[in-house]
Amino acid sequence: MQNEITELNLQARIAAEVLKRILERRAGLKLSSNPKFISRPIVEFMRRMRITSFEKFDTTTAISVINFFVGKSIENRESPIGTIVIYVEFDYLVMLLQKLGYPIEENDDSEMLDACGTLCNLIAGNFKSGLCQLGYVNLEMSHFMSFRNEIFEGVLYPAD
Amino acid sequence: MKILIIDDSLMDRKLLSRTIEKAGLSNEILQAADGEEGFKVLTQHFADICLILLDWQMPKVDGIEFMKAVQKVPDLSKIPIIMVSASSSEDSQKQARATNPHLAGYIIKPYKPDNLIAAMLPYIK
Repeated sequence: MQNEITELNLQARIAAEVLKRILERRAGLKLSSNPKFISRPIVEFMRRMRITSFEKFDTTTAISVINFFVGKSIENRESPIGTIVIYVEFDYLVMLLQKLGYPIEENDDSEMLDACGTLCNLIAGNFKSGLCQLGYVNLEMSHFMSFRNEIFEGVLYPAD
Repeated sequence: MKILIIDDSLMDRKLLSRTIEKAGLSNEILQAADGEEGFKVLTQHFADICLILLDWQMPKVDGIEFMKAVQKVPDLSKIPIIMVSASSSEDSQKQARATNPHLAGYIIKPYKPDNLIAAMLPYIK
């Protein structure tokens, strides 16, 4: 159990570092404080992880998800070994994507969801490189999936 | 001459288009949201396309599968492809180049516009 916690902490730190580098190097943004690492139980229904932004934010939020799989096998596509979920408030999303140089239209919902997915893809792709350093080879990423405020059907996640 | 952008992210397609237009590299940009659509567009316009900018992770047909399909068609395989992907690991780049030994470039997102333009310039007619 101690080893698992250490591995998860390491992965969390890599993810945080990836985000920090993207924000600093490409958007010119600095974090106001160091990221906090919080472990929470997953709420599961029918072997899918429940996702809602209402526990985190009071305003309209974009949510994007990318799964990680081992290899390209179709059979593996029901069993991810990792899942990244990002939540970004619409108001913040516009500023962030504009700082990253993206030409985003503020009043278009579909563009907002696409923007969140684009950001999720940036994080996941660079995070995947970090995972390679930890020995996770032959990883495949899904394309991003984006939603508004919550994901009713839940998402696949590594249940084991 | 036309440039074909294949990426499931509308934001990334917009950014690539804007970067290309600002650099004056092309006045006609074709777009596709996945490899399947990209292949259709390519087969319709291959005589006019001088370069393809290709994402990796896409629904239906991803970048790797797109390159495999293109290489089976001699007229299509001659068109240079630059991969523009968030997968930054060396393994990913090796996999891309193993799939397409003639890959014209591999640009990692988020990219600096100058790096993208420099990679594209040798292939712009």
